[in-house]
Amino acid sequence: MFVKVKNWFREFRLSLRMKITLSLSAIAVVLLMSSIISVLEYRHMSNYVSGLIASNVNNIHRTQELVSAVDGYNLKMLAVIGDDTLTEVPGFDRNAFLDRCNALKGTLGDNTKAQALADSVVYAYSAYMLASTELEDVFESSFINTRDWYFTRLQPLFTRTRVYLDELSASLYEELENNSKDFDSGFFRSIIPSSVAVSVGIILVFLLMFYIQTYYVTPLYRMLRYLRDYLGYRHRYTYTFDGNDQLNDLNTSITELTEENRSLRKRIADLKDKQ
Amino acid sequence: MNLKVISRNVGIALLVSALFMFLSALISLRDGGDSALAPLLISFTITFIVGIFPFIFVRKTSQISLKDGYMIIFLSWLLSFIFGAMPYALWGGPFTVVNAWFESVSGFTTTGATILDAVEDLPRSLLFWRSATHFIGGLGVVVFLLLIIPTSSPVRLRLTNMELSSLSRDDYKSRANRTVYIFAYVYIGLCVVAFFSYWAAGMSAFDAINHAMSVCAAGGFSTKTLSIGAFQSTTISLITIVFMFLASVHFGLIFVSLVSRSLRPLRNPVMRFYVTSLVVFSIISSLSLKLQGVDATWGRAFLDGTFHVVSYASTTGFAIADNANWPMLPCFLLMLVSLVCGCAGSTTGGMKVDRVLVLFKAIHMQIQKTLYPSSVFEVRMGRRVLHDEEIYPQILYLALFVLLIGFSTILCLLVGDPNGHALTGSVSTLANVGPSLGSIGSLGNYGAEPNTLKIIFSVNMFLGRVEIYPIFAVLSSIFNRKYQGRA
Repeated sequence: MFVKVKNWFREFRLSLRMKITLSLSAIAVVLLMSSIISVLEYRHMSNYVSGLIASNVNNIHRTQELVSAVDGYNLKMLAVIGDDTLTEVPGFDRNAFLDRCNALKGTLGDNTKAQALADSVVYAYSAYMLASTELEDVFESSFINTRDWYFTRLQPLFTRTRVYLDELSASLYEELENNSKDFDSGFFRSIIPSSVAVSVGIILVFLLMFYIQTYYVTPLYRMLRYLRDYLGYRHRYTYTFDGNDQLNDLNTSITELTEENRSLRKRIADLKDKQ
Repeated sequence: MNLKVISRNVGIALLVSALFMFLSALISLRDGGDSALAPLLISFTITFIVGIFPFIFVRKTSQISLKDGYMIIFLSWLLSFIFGAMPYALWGGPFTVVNAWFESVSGFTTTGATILDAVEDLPRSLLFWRSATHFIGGLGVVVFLLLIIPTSSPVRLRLTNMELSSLSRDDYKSRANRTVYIFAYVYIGLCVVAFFSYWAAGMSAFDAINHAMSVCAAGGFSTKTLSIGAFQSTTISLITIVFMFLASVHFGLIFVSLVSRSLRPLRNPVMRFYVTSLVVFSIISSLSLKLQGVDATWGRAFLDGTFHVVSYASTTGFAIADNANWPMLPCFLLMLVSLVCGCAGSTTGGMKVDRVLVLFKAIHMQIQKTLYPSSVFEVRMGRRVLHDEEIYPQILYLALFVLLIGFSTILCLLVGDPNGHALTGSVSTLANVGPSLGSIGSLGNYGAEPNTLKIIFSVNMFLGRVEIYPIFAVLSSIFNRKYQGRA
């Protein structure tokens, strides 16, 4: 069995048609690969970039919501203090605020600076809210000036929360800017693999051209020249070349034909001489 | 130059890479199709097609010129680097084009220098491909090719003589055609034994096969960021020391020792010199580590000292401790052993201890000649007398090696060396060691180096792996028209 397979391999030869088909198919596969790589890279890049930018924009949007919520609450507090009468304690949805903060933290990913700032926002906000709960006591108290309480106790805590929120916002804008820059380098990077595949395809085309020149075009030209020499000057047809396909068979047949023709001519000439 | 013969033989070398890419893709499939499956399959298909393409037209031939032979060696390595970088580049992550090229060159040349901060982030299939590049490069891309070419072919004989240095051929004591088989038997045998040893010592089968391929190729790629140190096992460390040492010994000597079941073949001057150097350097390093307070116990100091001396001398580059904070003396010794390296005929890089011994003996002879001008002296290696024509190329190689280190260092400094690794990086990459000192030390990486330096270092690795001359021969034949057509 093994010997049979070995012999089959030894005797196996590719026909001219097969060689051309196989080589062109190989080039086609490489080009197909390059287009698949391009599509894959484009899809990967597109998903990555759109996901990243959407996440950045969402985060910025969430931060803005936090800023307006805190600002709104602070304005309400200011209004109450300005009126000097406490008709109603300003309301604030603390759970919604903290949920937004946690959601924001969950989408910050590897941005450690923004993570730290989000934590700072939560702590500053907690301190601010804790201080704002003193409002009722301040109004009831006869020896605490509400305006003094606001500017010395609540305002600094509000400012701190606001500063952290601004810093968080700036950090997210910075991340968006960096991601846009990464997109430029990422684009360059994403075209490299497909360029490599295309380059390989081009190299194969040149290699195929070289092989066709070496194994088919040059032998055909030489065969023609030797044949002309034979027809014109009766030179012997002795051309041989490297190859094991139909072109080689053709060359062998031409050699045999010309030799046969030569011997026939010789015999005719001998017969003429004898006559 | 016969492009037909060159393309066919280079194609065989690429098919070897394609085979290992396919095996890596199978591992990815086994893991449920990890993120490296598509990159590996695409790389395999492209490499396979390019490798098989010349076979469609070019028939087997027995004609090969000297220039063709050098070109086959040069292109086989170069194209292996390029196609080997494809899985990394396609996978992405930390692999930019330059990083992928660096990792590929480092793998195939068995240098083991990496750009990765966290090796564990790579999928298992890509880790296997990294180790496979060591395995292919350890045996030599061209040796793989020689294993496929029929024994009787003159192509094989010519390539054998080119790929294996003259030093390494001497000790095989067999016909040149057999040397390739002996090299392959010993190499694969060592890999198999290393795999079972690691496995028995507690590594997982995957880690064991990767480390076995890496240690026998004297490579250094590990599946862990902390290298061998991650396993925290003295047994694994000791096994690694043994296999790093064996990988740096002349494979012909190991073969003869195994066949004759005797250690006598190993008792030659080169081996004695090599083992003595290792022992002395290990003791000094260990003493320094203990006395200068790096290691708390004598046992740990001796393990650290011996492990790293053998690791650097064998150009493997495995580590069990970070040498970034070591005192000056052991660091200097590590640099020294990474220059000299192991024996010829092994998978190590560097100057080779054989050449250094020849140099010492030649210096000794010169001193004797100066003292006794009318006496006749000769350089002996065991019973063999070395003639001037045998000594001269070895000393010339050492000079060229040192010159290249200097040239590479100057080039690194010219293009900008922000981390100050021009000299140590040049020594380490030209000797195919991998790790060096500081942030590119035993547990460091080359990720922070500028791209220009990575390219210079990768050229160093290539030069070191093929022992310099083949590259110069090819470049000379391409650019020097004066000698065109003489080969």
